[in-house]
Amino acid sequence: MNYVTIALGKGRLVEETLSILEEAGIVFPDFSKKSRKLIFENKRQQLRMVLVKASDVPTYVERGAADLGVVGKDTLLESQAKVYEVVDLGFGICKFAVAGLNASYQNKAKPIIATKYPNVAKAYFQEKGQSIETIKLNGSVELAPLIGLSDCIVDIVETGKTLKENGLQVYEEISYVSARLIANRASFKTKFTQIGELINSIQEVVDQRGERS
Amino acid sequence: MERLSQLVPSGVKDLHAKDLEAKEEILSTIKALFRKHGYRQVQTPIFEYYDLFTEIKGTMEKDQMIKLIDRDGKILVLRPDATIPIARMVATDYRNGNPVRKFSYVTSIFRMSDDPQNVQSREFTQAGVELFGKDGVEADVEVISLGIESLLELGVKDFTIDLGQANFYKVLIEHIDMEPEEMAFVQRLIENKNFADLKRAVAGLEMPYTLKNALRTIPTLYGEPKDVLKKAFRICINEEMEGEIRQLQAVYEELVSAGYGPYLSLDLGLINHLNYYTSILFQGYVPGFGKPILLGGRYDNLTKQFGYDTKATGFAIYIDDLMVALEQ
Repeated sequence: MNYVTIALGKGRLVEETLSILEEAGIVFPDFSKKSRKLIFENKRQQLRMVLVKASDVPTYVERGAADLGVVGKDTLLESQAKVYEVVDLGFGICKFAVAGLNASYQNKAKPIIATKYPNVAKAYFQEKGQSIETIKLNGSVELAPLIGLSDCIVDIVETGKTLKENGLQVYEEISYVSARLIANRASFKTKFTQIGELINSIQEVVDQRGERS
Repeated sequence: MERLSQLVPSGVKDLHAKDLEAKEEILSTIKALFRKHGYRQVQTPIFEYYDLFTEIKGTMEKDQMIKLIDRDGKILVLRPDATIPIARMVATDYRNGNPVRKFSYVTSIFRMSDDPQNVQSREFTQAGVELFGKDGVEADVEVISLGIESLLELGVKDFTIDLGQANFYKVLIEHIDMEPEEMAFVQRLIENKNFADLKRAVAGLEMPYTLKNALRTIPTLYGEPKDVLKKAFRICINEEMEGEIRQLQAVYEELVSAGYGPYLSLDLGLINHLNYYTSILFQGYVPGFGKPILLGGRYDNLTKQFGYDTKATGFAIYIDDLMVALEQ
């Protein structure tokens, strides 16, 4: 039997993911929050977990360096990776939105949009038939319209608190975002039995949680 | 200053003697195997008219072709696909005589792909066969068997050939009244096995339960073949769909009795390249390598578009990817 490798993105999704895995009977004994290790093994179940930068998870899975991965739909959409998107894990829920100080960006011939997600922004406005210019930022995107760097922003919005505190408002909602279990297309076929079982047990936990809440 | 004179562009690379020798060995093995099975090697031009690849519905992405301008202003493209030019050749030069034609090729393919992790994304070698003028289970089995034999002969020990049926899905969606954009969206969800979003999308559509259920079920039709076939029969909405599944079953059973069972799996959610393939299609995967190294299937409508209606099926092996997979 071969090892199955699961890639997790360091950051906001780790804890919740590990708790779902634990409920599904998958544990990594040598994992602790303080550990600096990046790779953890479960010998009995022939599983390996690797911790990578969240935005790299789709790459690891698409290239087959990991068979499975857990990643936010936001990161997944931006990466445009060709992977199977097998389970909606039902946490990390937020939405993609267009936000700004006011709606004036809608009247511009070619609004300038600041975002961490240029591919998502381009795809959304292209579908609407609106030309845009994007500025790729790596954080504090809300600042851009305030100091005149852009006309509006495209970002994920969870509670809207950050937007509100900076005087920004959501004008358009783009799509629903949540954590996803993704699978490499080749592994899905070549390690079908092992991976199929994992997916099923994770789906069961997610379904049970959905019923409880 | 950039020293462009010392660099090669992205997506292409030099092959040093050792690498080329290894590649040539693989190519001569595969050529000998194709020849043994009666396939004769042909070659089509390295560049052709852009129109050849765009007038044929839904075969090539326009952005993916590497274009040149001819002296008279016509647009040319570097060969972006091996099958379309061979289908053109057969439709124009082989209309008379024996309708059954068996051709093979080993050729460079050029694409404007910019996958930063693939050093050979813009020029890569494909080796494959095309079987014209032969329909039915027998021809499909012949070509799929040769695909399996090719991988075995090249020393690939562990691989999976995934069989799908393009027309099973096509017949279903003919009975569904949906906007093209909506349809494309649903199709993408099926291709990505995005069960959760598909369920949500289908719930919002207005159509009878049987159709909703069929759409939701299609991406789950993979894995243990007997199970898959049983479930597939259950969601058929007419005899045509049943017929397609019966044909897939017949092909599968023939391949199993030829001893290829351990290499096979089924996936009726395999619906990419839908405008190209008309019936059974298949993809070959190697463990630990993210992309298929073999792609094939039946494409009965292609030669018709060049004014000669004949049956056709074939496959291509991505030689460079296969070499990388073998090294791993």
